[in-house]
Amino acid sequence: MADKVCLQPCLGLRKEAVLGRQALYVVHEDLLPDQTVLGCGPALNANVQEDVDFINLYPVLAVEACELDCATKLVAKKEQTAARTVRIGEVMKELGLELDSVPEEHVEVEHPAVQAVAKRIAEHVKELLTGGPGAGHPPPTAPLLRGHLGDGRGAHHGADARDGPPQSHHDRPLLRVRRCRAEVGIRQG
Amino acid sequence: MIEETDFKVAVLPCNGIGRLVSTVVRLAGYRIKRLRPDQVVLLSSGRLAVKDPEHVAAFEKYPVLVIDGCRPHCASFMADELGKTPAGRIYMADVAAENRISIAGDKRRGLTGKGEKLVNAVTDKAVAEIDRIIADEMLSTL
Repeated sequence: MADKVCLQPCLGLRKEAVLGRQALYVVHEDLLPDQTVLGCGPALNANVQEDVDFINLYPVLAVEACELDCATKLVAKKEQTAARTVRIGEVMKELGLELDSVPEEHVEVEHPAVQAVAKRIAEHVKELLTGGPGAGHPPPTAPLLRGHLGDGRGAHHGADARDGPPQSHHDRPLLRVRRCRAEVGIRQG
Repeated sequence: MIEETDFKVAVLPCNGIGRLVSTVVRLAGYRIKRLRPDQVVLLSSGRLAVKDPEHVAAFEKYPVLVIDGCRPHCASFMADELGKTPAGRIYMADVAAENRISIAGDKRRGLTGKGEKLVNAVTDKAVAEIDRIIADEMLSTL
């Protein structure tokens, strides 16, 4: 069973996307920092190694703003399958939240809707980590790599990096990761 | 400001999430659109990455200004992937250096004054680029 979940937001422009993005900061930085990595869509599209590794090593929770499901499709474009897809609009409906209460362009993480959506997404993460539907992905490779990747502190690109200064590429033992993946027959990103 | 509305620029901010500059780029995108509402088509990198037809059409139709937040230059990658040379490129580090703005200490979840300064600087630079690109397009038709 995986020890982390990759949060992969659509990163669109509409209100729901902004709310989802902010909610994922809350999940990743406040609620479940050790159980999540934060995937960056454009970086994944550009084959930034860290983001490619994230979707290959961990089950992906795609967080979508609309029915276009761009995050889910992007993961598929990179030859993986999202373990679960949640749509912000549906989560808000489920929680009885009104989109009208959310400002355009930017919403503070303290906003009640952001906090409520973040908590619901954190529940999805916990379900995936404890064997819920979709938890089977990826094959048992993540434990091999525990401590090597995904805690964000050794990341060069920063999808998972905190706001601290970027660290050297050498801090990130990608060669070891690649070796581990080769040993268990995982496709290189 | 250019009054002609037939000419537009498709603006492609990377809209990433990982870096502090990701937030700067994202907010700049909205401000650019506000300042040039009739000249700017704001593209979603998420939709473009999966070749959403509406976004691909706008990308193909108009000259493109890409705004890259961090070193992998993901917005530029996307333009290259779709086979188009952007009419303009802006890289956040260049803007920060030109304006001597440091945003260290700000948070990606919400900017303070320093981050806002950089948002304004990149917005100003982008608007100037948009005006230049449109002028170039217009003059090439005369």
